Amino acid sequence: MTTRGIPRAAPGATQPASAPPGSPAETPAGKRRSFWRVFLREPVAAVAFGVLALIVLAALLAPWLGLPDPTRGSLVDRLKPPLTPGYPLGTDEFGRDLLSRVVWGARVSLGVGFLAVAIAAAAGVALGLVSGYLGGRFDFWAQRFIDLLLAFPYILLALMVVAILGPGLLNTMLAIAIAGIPYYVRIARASALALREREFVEAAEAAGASTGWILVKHVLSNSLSPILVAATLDVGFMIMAAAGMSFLGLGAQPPLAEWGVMLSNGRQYLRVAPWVSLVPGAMIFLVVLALNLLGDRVRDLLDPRMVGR
Amino acid sequence: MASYLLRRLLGTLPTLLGVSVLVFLSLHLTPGDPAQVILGPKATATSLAALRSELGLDQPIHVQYARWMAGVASGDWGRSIQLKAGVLPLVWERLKATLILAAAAMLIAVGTGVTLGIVSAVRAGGLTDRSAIATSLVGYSLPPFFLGIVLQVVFGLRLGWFPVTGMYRPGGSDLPDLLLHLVLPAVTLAAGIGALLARMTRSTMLEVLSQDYVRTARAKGVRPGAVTLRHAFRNALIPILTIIGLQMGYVLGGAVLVEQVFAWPGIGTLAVNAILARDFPLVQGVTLLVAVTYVFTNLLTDVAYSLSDPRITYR
Repeated sequence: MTTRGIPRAAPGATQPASAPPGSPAETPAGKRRSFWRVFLREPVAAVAFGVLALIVLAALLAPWLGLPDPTRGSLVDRLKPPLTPGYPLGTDEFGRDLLSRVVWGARVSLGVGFLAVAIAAAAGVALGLVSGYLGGRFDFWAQRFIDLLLAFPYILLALMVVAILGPGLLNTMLAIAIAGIPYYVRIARASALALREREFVEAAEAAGASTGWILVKHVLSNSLSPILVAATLDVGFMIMAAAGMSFLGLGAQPPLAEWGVMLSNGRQYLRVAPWVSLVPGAMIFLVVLALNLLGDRVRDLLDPRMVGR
Repeated sequence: MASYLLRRLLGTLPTLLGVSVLVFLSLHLTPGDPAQVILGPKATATSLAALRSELGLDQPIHVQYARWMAGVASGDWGRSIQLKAGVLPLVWERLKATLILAAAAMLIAVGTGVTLGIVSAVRAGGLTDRSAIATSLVGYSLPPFFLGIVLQVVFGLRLGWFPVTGMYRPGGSDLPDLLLHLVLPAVTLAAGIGALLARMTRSTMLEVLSQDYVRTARAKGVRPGAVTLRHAFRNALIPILTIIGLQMGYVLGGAVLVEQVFAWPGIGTLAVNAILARDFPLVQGVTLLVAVTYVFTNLLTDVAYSLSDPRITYR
């Protein structure tokens, strides 16, 4: 990709090396540390991680960064281009500081994206694991219902949920989460189906462990890798979907600083002040790109079959 | 063959039935009284009662569904509350514009994506491959609404090469004009799909290129171009076709966003306006038509897939 000048590690070399017994890497904390070390060994992933960490940190610390009020501006300073003294990213049609709006907007856009993934993953994984592990009639009807949801294109399904619940930021988040559930059901169910036949699950059953215990202790914990890979790759998509809904006017509403809303409002000024739209748009792109790069990296590490694909 | 097609068609019936139930229920799943939701808090008791009887909300739910389905089957999809017109003619007119946009985007995406994927796989590890991977990563990380605006600013407003909005110039309806208006929205919609296709084509081709028969073909002296296209690509085609089929949903969904950017008079803009106005009959009409289109494109892909592989027998 962009590993120019730096020799790329041979395929396989990026796999976490198995630690000798008794070494610090064998303890859980050591394992985590060595995962991160290997994870960030690839320069592109490290840069993506750095960019994302910076944006997340800025979003979390927004109230303490001394930025001007993101919802108040001075009309004298309206539509100032980027690099204007006092306004590093310029101002919008109400003279509001775009840097401040982008940083405050990150709280909303990233928050909605991460939460939507969490909701979709929690619901989808629960349904998928139970469905795959129990099988039988429950599995049959659950799968027919999921098939039915998959008969709708993703955005259409999300739009239908917004139509039912009504427009608004919270409803939009629920809508994109609900539309994302089938994706996790599929992954979790496939994993549970495979695990159901494994000896350690059969041993737990024979030992009289409860279904709930087996599901959490054996099935869920052994399904985490594919679910984590899917979720990492999904965060970027969800952030994009949430911003898209706001862009359509169905999600966050002005004057709230949210990237999709900012992008949409700025369209009226494309001729005279394209940066009003382009700045928040570039932020969405940057975050999604970084998340996709990280998602690919997570997949390479957790799913060795996928290396180089 | 005919019986295979018939069986596949019959196989979509349960899905279509389920889709219709879900679309029908969407109105009834709204929190509160649907008539109140549609008319807003200021509605009078008389207008609420009138709307309830117009939508048949005063009937038992299975009667409502049966009446709604009978209407759908006979071409009466109800009336749009906001636009005061029949739903079916409204959505049908708009679907054409969306399908034109979707088809153009698909052509561009398949052309560039598959080519990029093949070239990338043949030169795996090289500079071409790495730039192709980077391009595709950028392509599917670009939100369509952002890419659309960038293209509008650069190729519409700055360079003036293409019109920025609409499907025809005012009063126009000729093909060259349509094509000119189509370029920017189609490229915008194609970017994400093309990027994904490039990635998938590359990985499928890499797998096929490592097969024994490809090595045999090379060893017996078949020209490299012929090995790539005739031996490898033809066998990679089936998974690629499946992926193309799967992208139809993305195209139809993504069209909603792209249409909004370019004021393209398709079904997406209609849907968004209907949702904002809480015009339920219209929302139901759009959802039903798009879902049905999607179910049938999936069926077509499946059929095309069985036809392209002689190993798959249709029994």
